[in-house]
Amino acid sequence: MNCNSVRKYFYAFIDNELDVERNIEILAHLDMCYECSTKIEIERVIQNRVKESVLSISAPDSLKRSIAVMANPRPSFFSSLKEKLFANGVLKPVGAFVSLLLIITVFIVILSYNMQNEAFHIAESEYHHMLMNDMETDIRSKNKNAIKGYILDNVGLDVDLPDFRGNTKLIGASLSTINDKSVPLVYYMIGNVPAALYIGRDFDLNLSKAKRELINDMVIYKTDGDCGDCKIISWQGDDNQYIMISKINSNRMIGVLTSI
Amino acid sequence: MISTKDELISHIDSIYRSALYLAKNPEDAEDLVQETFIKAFKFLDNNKKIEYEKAWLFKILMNTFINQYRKSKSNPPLVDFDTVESYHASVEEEALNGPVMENKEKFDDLLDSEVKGALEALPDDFRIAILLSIVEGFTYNEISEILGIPIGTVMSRIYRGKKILKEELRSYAKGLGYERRQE
Repeated sequence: MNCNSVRKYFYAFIDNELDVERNIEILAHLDMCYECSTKIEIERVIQNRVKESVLSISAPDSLKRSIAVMANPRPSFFSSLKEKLFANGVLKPVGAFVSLLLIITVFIVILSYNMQNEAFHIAESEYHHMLMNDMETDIRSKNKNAIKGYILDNVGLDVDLPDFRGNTKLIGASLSTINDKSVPLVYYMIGNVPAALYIGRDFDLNLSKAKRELINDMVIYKTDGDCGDCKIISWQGDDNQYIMISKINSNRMIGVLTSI
Repeated sequence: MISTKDELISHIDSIYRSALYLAKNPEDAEDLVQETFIKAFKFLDNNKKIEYEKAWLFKILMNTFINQYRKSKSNPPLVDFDTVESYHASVEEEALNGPVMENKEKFDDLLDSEVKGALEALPDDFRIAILLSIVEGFTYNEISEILGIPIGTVMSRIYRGKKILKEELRSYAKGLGYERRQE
């Protein structure tokens, strides 16, 4: 074999892809040809350098994580429950009954929780709505009796509007709806911050997470609004429940109330 | 033997670096890797058996690249092999016959970016063959299986690819890589 024919097989030789016979021929030539053995050495260096360079790349951690998640998708609560309950054939009817019971319980708890907080949610969203609509109220009046009359005419509720002290002004009122029932919202300005007072009966509020405070023999509940900006206070009057929402803090809201 | 998903995931670095050299950018490479594993996992979920999982994964990667990626994206057209051949023929001739005794240390000192540049300058088909052979260490037979081409074609792609790659790297080693690319 001469140099040219040996060099034709260089790559296959390096890659160990030649048959034994040809391999021996190449080895014999390399043994006695300095030029070819140097050239093949350079080929090896190049290949190693390329290999080393590419092998230094590894997949980003974020990609590895997402592939791992794809490989083992977390089973949902109900499917894993189902899997466990139905794993044993004997458990089938029991499993079905238990999961049905569980689903109904969860459904009722979620539903009642939402219902109990619906008044807070609606009151707060009405408050936001009012802020955005530049105090667009159904009736505008600073007169307490005019507001009371409006509520009595439209909702049939004889409400007792609380007195406020300090720089608090009555602005007006509008109607909101909860459980298909009209509920009045009365608007005030405490300083230059608007406040909304939601008045009604049977709100059935979930106050387990609210803070309870006793002021002048009156229990006042304090909680945060969903927007993170608003504060909500609530108390029970003689006939009605009151929910007040404002961006001022709840202690200041309590501070301006005198009649409770 | 049935492979598990974890066994497949152990090849993710290999699959990613090849995807990176196929797609030539990290975003598309990640898409390619994700698609490859989605297909692989789906196959496993159907309890099908796999012979040699690394080669099998590469086959999925290559098919995904060729069928979806290369067709849909506006990639540069494949280089005409004959042009590439004649372009390098003179240099190669000189290299083969001339008494050029290069300093092998020069190749060792090549920067990763230079190796990357040289690899990316290769036509797709050559680059794929080179990566499977040099980097991943597949045999010519396995490469023929992965790419679905005859073994003779594998040998010729590897031979031509390595020749071109060496010339690219030689020009970098001589500090000419950038200038030559500018011509």
